[in-house]
Amino acid sequence: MQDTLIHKGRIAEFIHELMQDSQVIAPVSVGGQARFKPIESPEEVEWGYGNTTVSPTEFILPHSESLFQFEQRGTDFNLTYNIDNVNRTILGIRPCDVSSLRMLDEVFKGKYEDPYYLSRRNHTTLIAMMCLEPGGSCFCSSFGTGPGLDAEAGADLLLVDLGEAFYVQVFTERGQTIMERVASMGTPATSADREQVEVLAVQAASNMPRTLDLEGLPEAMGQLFESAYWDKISRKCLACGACTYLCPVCYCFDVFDTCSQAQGERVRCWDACTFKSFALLSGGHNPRPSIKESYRQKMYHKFKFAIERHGYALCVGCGRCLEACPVDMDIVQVLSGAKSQVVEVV
Amino acid sequence: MLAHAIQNRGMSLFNPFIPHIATVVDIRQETGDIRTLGLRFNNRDLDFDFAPGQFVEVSLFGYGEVPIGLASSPTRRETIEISVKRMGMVTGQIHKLTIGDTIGIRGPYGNGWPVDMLRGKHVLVIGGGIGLSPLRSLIDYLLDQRDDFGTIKILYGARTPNDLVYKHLLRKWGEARDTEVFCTVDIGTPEWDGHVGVVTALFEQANITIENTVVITCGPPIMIKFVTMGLEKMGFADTDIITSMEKMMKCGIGKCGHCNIGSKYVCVDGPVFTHRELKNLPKEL
Repeated sequence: MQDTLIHKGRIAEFIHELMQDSQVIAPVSVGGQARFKPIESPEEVEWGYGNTTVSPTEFILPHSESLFQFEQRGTDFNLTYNIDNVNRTILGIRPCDVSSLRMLDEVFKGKYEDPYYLSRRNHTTLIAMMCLEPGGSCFCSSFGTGPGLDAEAGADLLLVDLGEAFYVQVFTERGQTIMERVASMGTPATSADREQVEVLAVQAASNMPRTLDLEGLPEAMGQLFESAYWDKISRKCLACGACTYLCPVCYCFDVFDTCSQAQGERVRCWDACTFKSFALLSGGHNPRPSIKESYRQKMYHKFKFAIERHGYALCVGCGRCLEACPVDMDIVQVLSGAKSQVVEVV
Repeated sequence: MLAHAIQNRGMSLFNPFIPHIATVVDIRQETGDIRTLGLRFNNRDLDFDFAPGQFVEVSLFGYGEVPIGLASSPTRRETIEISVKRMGMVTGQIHKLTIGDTIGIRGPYGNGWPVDMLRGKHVLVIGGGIGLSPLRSLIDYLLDQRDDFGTIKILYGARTPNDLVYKHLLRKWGEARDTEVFCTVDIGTPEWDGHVGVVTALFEQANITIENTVVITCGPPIMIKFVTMGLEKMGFADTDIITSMEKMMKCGIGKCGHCNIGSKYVCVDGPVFTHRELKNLPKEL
């Protein structure tokens, strides 16, 4: 389908149409910060924001959710559960966060499909927004997960802010269905518009404030596992878990029961490998007894083990971990430092 | 196998998080802090097939879930059995169960012992403490198809004579054709007339042959360390030493991340690994 221009004067109408058959989640201003939330009217949408503090992936893998409810009946138990199949549209999701969902899909599919995640994922339409100005901590261009977006990334539509109008690119059938419904609101985009989009994408990429050179990184980390480098680096980590909680690709979760008398529920909630008891065995043995081992696990899982297992690092370069860290741990510096350690040794 | 189909946008998803309800039909106190439960699924139509060395997630509703290796053999299907050591909240509750109580079971999970690789081979089984439990599943499996395997030698160690599990079976296994059982304890008692010492001290007495022999071992990390060291010194190849790894687990299905080590998830890629595979993993055991 041909790309479309929707004049900003008609964007409220466009959002209104989206709201007809789905819950629309978009960035809104909460206490001066942009946050993805379900909106009640198109006017709430805050377009001129940077990357949100919390990624909208929380609407696919929420901070906590019920896996099932149980009720005791005599000696027997009755189990019930609910699979979320609400239609949602995430409007204004950034390319890095779209890419993170594609990575999470790999985890939650596989031999054992996770119905809670996959149902939400299947019922969610992604309308992405291209980044024109990267934030101060961004390094998505190092992974190819931004600032632009290609058709394979998994968004249904991509919006590009051209000043007077939004350029709309269709990636999927679902996106095409939306554009057919709103056909009267737009005009066909011209090749000049397309060229402008390409110029903006190149400009945004060249303004990227940081880069991480992945070349040779897993190999370097392979040599460095036992190195004192990790003692030195992890010394200031507080193991607070802020980086893992805000990371759109971190998916580790805990499972526990809550109960009062004869009924209760099994809940899962986000967990963090940087927490001390993450790998603690019931006999008291802890394979990762200190912050050094848990911090190292975080870095190795993302930048070595995941590359070996999935073929890509579990990072999209959104920079949230840098922004949130209370002691200014900088993932780019830590990894670049790791590589230079190996170079020094050689 | 799990009968929890969901209709979802035309595709049928199964819910691997929902346990099957099972009833406790038998309880045997093995030691002061280890008991064996016999379980029967309330859904009699459930075809619960498994391999020796696989594990299940056991639910005590209101307390949580724990991964436990199956102790019974798939060749004996009237009930499934698990042996549980009292360690924390969930296992503490398991020790309070009485016959007729119900619990939840998810699984079976993990790869299990490589039984096909053992056909035609001599099998040396080395266990420590509660580690004999997943080995029992294998031993009964081997004995039920006795002609398919060579000699079976079972080396088993526990802290004290009172900590030996499956005492009745140890005797019975020793009576089976071409099967020998050697037991040892770290600390003896006046009544104990058997071997005293660590399990590696049984190697000589057991007259172990290397040729055409595969070692299957399960026990505490310190035992595994010295057993594998001793075996490699004797000349065993690291691909013929096979062990089951214990890791913190939550989901059991490769999602929650707790059992990750290197590029492996112990719950789906293990828990059974060759010693060579373990050597290639980060030293975080």
